[in-house]
Amino acid sequence: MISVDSLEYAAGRFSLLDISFSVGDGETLVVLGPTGAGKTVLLELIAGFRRPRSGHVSIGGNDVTSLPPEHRGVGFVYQDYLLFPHLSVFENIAYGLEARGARRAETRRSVESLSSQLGIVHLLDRRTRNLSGGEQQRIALARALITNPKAMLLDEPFAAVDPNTKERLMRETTRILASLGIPVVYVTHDQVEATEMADRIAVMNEGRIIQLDLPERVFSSPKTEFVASFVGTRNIYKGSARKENGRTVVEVQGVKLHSSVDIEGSVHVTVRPEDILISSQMISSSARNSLRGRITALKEKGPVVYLTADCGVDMTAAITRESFREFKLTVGDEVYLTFKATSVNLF
Amino acid sequence: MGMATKMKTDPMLLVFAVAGAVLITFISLPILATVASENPSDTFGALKEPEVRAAIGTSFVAALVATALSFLFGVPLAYVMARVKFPGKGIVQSIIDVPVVIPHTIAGIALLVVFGRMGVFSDQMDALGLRFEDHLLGIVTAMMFVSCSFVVNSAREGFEAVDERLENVARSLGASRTGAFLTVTVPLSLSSLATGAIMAWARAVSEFGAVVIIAFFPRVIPTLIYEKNLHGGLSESIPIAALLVIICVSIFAVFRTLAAMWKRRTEEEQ
Repeated sequence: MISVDSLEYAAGRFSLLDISFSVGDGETLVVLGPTGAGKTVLLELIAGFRRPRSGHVSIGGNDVTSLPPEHRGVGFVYQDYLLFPHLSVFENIAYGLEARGARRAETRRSVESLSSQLGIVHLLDRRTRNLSGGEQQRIALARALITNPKAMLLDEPFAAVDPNTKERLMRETTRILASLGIPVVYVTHDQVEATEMADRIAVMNEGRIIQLDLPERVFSSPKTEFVASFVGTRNIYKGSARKENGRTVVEVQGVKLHSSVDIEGSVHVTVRPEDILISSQMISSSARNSLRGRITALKEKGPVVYLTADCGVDMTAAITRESFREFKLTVGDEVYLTFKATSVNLF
Repeated sequence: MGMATKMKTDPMLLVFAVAGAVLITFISLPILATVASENPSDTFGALKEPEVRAAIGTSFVAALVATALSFLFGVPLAYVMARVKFPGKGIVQSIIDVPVVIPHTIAGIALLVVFGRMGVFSDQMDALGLRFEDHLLGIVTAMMFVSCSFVVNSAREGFEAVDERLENVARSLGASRTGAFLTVTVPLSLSSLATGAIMAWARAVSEFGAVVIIAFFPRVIPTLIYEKNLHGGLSESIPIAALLVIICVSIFAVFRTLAAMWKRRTEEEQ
């Protein structure tokens, strides 16, 4: 468990104010906020790289506020991974064990077994240059995990991974972190990443935590205008998924949705507003979800208009200003919301 | 290749290249002339003279000790300068640069004021049995004074180029601050540390002004050359001068190559 109590920090004009939260064992807290919100500084304070002006940090029940980083037992993965450039991949992963004076044979065994779990055994003899973002991410994760940390802190760990491998790596990382049963604090500015990784989300801006809540609460009932505009309008629900004729069907508040994600049981469901098509007539297709609903809200934001309709569940679609004008939509109109099974993300 | 075509077509670069060539000639001509004016047997024959060998020994050993001492005190200072913000940092940096800007004879005088027989610490030094004037210790002190800035400034640049967050990661993995410094920061700044050492050592070997004021004896090479030139003219000073040029340039070339190799290795890795 990590607890942060009334943490304050100042450096120049930048400051963190009254930060308090706790993260339980096996829980992932995502700190979500724009660049410059103080997310990385918060992680560095927990890790002990910086000293707070006041407040306390405790890890595993011990107050570590005055302990140096090497005595905190915290794994840290930076955004750009920061592998040691003068060491091989093996030496990078082994670093933490060698710093603790582990025996050579033991180190080799541990590095090899962890590397095979992460699928990076074939990289062990390589230098760190010319590795892909995904490979570096895995190595940085292995380097942190090998010391059996009491908590993991990750600073935008997928920022430098190409979009194609990102989804897969995120799922794997979530699985690995969950299997450790330690508290995880995960920093990102990306709402999609946040919803997929988080048990809870702390929205941060200008050195403060604005809202700390369950992901669906952050999106459905943003506390402030800032949270609302930063997280955008998103469709996020809890539901239960099962197979029907080999296809995944997820039920959200009595509404059935088709999804292409192969998963069963209790899940989070998200549909991007941009993926939803609005029409006045039903569009039929076996692979598509089509819901009928009445417009409850219309919100203009830049070039797009967010249309919220009550389809049994509240669902928001993003349409262009042009089509909004063309259809002459108003609150109370009946519309169809259509989206592909591949747009229904489950996690 | 792009460079070559540009030089042909760009009048400014052509003028600059000519100006540069004048300077390069200005530097290399006297040195080459000195080496070339003696036949090699005379030059290396100078090595047989005991006083020349003694002077070379004194110069090289004293410069080595001075460089080692600069390292011992300068590298920690460089790290603090690279990593810590503190009030008066600008003043500290100015002090580090003072030896480079003041005339070296003045440096010699200043050192005498502190370490000389009539100096500030004369009583304490008598009590410890230490002597600086006309002593190897004085030579080392003078050399260190004029060369330590190179070690500090070069090491500082090297440390600044190492991302501090690499040290953070190392510490989160269980390394102490010292451990992180030794296993991450130092290996990644080896080329800067080596460059600083070479520059400092070369500066120390070539020092005459400060050394001669605090210690004419034992003679270092520049002192010996000065003395020979004073009493026997160019014919006596040139062979030793040529010898020193050959030795110094060779050592310099070897270390520069090593430093360049290190640098290439770290750059490739980064």
